[in-house]
Amino acid sequence: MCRRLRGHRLSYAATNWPRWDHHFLPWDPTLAEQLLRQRQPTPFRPDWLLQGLVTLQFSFGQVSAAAQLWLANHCGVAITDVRALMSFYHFLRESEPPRYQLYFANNIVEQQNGLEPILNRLRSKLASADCRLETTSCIGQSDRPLSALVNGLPVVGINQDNLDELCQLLNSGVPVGRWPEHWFPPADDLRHAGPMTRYDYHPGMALRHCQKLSSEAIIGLISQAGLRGLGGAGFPTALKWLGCQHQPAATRYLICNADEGEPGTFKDRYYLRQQTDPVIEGMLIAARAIGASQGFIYLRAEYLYLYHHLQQRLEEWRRQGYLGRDFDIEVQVGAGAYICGEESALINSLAGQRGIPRPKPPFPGERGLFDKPTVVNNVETFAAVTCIIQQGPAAFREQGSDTSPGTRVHSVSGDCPRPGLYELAQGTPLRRLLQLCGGEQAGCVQVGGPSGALLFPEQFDSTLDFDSPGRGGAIMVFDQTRSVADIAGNFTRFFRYESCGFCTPCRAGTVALEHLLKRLQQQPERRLQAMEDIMELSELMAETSHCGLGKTAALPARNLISRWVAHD
Amino acid sequence: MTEKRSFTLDQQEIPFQPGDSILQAAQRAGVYVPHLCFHPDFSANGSCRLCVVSIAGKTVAACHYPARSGLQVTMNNSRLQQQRLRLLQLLFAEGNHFCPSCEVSGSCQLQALAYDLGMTHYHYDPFYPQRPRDGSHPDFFIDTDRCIFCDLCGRAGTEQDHKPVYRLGGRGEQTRLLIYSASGKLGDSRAAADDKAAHVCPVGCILPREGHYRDPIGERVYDASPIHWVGNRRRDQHAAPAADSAGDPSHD
Repeated sequence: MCRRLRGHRLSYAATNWPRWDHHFLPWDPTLAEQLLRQRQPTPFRPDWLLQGLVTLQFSFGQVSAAAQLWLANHCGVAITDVRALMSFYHFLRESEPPRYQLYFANNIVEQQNGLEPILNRLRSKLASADCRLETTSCIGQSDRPLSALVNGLPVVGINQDNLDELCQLLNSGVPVGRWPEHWFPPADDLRHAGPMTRYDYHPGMALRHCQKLSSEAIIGLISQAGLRGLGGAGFPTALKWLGCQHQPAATRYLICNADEGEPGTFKDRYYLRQQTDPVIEGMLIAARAIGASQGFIYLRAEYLYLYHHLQQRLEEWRRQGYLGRDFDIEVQVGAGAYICGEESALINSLAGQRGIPRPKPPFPGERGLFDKPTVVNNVETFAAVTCIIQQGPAAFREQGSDTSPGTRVHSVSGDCPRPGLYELAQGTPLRRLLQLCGGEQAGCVQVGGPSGALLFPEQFDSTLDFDSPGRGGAIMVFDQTRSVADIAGNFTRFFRYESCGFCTPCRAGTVALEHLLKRLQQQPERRLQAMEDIMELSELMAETSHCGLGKTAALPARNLISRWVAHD
Repeated sequence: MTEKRSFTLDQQEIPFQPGDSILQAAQRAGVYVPHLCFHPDFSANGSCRLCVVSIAGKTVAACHYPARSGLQVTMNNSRLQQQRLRLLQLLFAEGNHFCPSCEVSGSCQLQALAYDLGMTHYHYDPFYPQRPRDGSHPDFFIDTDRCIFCDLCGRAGTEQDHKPVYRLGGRGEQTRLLIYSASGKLGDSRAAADDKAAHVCPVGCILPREGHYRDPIGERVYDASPIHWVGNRRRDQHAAPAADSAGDPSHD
């Protein structure tokens, strides 16, 4: 007797995938086809293979060997191509699903908030429950530790006090979508709002203005504003657009990078939920500026709970006539791979491939998705575009510095009383942010996520902008009791786990680096040699790696050694 | 008069054709740039990073970097050689390489480069991975202990044999060679004795079952001379599969 609910075939309506009000469904090819066609009228294409797998995974809780073969046959690809994806994206599972699949984030902030004791207690209490407890890099809820994805839905604020209630739920068999409201992330609010998040937004106003302008004029406005990509790299947005717009091509693509995977970052969660319309409008403006005919939002699987909301808003823009004629937007969902936040890996993933970064040049603006000129911008960048066009570039430039104008939203987590989202002018000193979040007494602060910089009190006057170390973005606050070695160890492990495995220095280097860090701590007699080896390996990885992940993966270990050398 | 198309590689002038990468141009000019995942007949991959060169202080992969007039490219300085050595040591540490008992000893590019760069030890702790072997095919044996994930077999299959047999799957340190067949076994795939894909392996991962010791150890392509002398000669060019027939009088 199958323990999962049956007879749900008819309850699926066109836009209500995914659903959490019942358990994973038993494998049924007819239902599978129905589900796939609800998401995409022509789902059986090689380039939609990954989306097919994701849809099956989050509906059936697994992609069984039979389901893989079924999808491969329908898409006209070999089963081996399906296996290549299954083995790359870690949310895709072949094995029989438990009733509850839990993924806890194991970022340093969660580690420091008692992840291990909670996991141990859960394991002992849930020995007989139909649960699988696992960890993953980051689920974008670092301000609400501890948090876990339960069958794909984020459950937040887990602690020793409410663990019994959680165990009761996990033993009860109640589908996660019917759990009490307090377990789910509340609507995001900013701890500190600014001109980009609290202006008087009029939906469609900026777009209507752009409809009177040439594409050069639109790009000109973005250039005047000096907007730089807010995903973290800070590349001038107008230049990126121009590079694509100049290409002689009949088809151009626009991609919104919502694969926010940097541990400790969660601003896109806010934008996608609370500023959905400005983000969509920014995409419409960009599409007009570069002449794109098709847009995509690449949504990380950890934010699947926002999928339905995004679809509803897109539908509304379609109903208003702004979307769906010469430009439309499709939401595609990732499947658990940090590297897919890298724009060329994301492009490969959108094309249904493993998320391996491409060599550059050619850059996506020249040859991107399906080898067509493509622009990839971050969620926040699109929101900024709408703000700039509606308010004018001069208003945008009122804050920030000459080289990094405007504001951006920082995600603050860790040892401070007020973690959350802070919109601050570019160039704001870190110390100011620490005052706002109550982290003035911090022993050190990781700025810019694991690939950023670890700053110590003597560096707290450094500014948060694209011209400073760390650049801002994800801010993890650590009090004075926290071990710098633990922080470096956690980040090093993260990069090892998330390396795509393409190039030697990153694939093997991240593993060797972790071995060396272990040697450093466990074999004092070989410590000096290990330190030298780490410094050398970090340079090797920084200089010879294929993409940014490998180039930055050794920074945490390197910073640790530099710090020790400076203070020994 | 048109502008002369050339760049300098360690002070040597290298002419190039439009569309050439630095490595392609150097190879055509008879200059050896260390590499493992590159093969002149197939598209560039850029995964091994052995071909790293320095241009205006920036380290790039020569197999991907487009040749341009006037570029000043540094290939052989002590820093780059040391980096190549470390990359090789990482490759040795992450797999299970038993050179003294390996069938392709002497014609293996990994081993040849290691000798050429003066590698005397692993330097990094061996990872000791558990990797599968596949003896299901009558003509070939697969020992993924030796795989370096260069994807040459995959590219040769797509670009020359026009049939999929090999490809890479997995992620990170779990990257692995996958076989196109329902069982995942080579014996159930479309692999055939004269596939280019099966003979292009720069290491000893895809091994023909017969003929390994036709050339005695000590007399193989990289035994007699170091790989930077032999240059771009390879096992798959040295002993073309057609000449491998048992009745070939030249081997009597």
